[in-house]
Amino acid sequence: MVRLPDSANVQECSRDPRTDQELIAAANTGDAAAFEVLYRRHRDWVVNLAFRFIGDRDLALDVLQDTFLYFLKKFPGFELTCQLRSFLYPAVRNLCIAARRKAERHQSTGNELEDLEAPPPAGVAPAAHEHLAAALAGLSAEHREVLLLRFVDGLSLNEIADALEIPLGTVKSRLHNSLAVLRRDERTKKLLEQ
Amino acid sequence: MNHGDYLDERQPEVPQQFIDAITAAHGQRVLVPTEVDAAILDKAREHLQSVAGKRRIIRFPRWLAAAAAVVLAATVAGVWLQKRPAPPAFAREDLDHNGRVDILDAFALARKVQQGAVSAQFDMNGDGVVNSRDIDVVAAQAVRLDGKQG
Repeated sequence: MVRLPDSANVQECSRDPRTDQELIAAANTGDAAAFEVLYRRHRDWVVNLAFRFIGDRDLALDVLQDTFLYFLKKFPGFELTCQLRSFLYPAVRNLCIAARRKAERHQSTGNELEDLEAPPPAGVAPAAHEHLAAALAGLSAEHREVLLLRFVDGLSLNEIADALEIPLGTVKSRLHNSLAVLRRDERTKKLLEQ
Repeated sequence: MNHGDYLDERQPEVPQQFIDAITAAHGQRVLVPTEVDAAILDKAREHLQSVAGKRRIIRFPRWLAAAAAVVLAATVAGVWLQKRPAPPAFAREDLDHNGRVDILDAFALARKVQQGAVSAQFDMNGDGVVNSRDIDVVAAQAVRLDGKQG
């Protein structure tokens, strides 16, 4: 049986005006309600990021749980030194690699990230989206990752740099080059015409 | 083109239709069942309640703990000193504290006088100086026939 979400509680969490930093400070004192607000604020981003990496709904849900349990174990005493999504991103990515290894029991090829980042988009209308997906699949994993973090996840350039642990200039360069490739690509250049 | 100028993160130079398309292709797809929410949040409550429980334990300030340690140490030292047997009383002339005044004490004082290492405690005759007369006092005490010492 699937329980319906406690909508009142969800709404209350979504209206909480405290910043992530303030909620983390509260959670450090044992405030479970503050942790719940953090969970509901970032849950969908985490699970869909995991799905994007792994292309499997059930594994993505497993990764969601593992990510927040990893995060939970940081309390008490957790100090956030960047944006929370920048902190969570490497955890999600590594947990996806581990989950996929476990699921497929394949030998490591060293290309797990490349494998992870090319799931076929599901539930999307054909035509433009298919063309876009095909064009994105033609980008390198590093370039596609930056592009998706920027335009799908809405991370700032600095947050992307923190999440990927690369210099800001590299983020800008990868984004610039990705867009340049898509602008030249017959399948996607119309989408990028002003 | 300079990348930094080109990519102003507040106004990415891509049309909205591109953002809509890429979001549709890669955006929200997985709905999280409430069972998953409940499992995670139950664990969070359990873990964080233990954190809150630990915080409820009274914690004294460090200075107070240090002061308490000092008071305790002083008390223990006081009790120990009180219980310690008093040192045996020796005659002033019994320089080597062997319980009797003998010629060895006279020799010991003679050495001290010779070395100049003298103090008021060796002024046996109370004349204000420590010299051979004090040695004589100790020697006389050592050879007394009545056995009385001190």
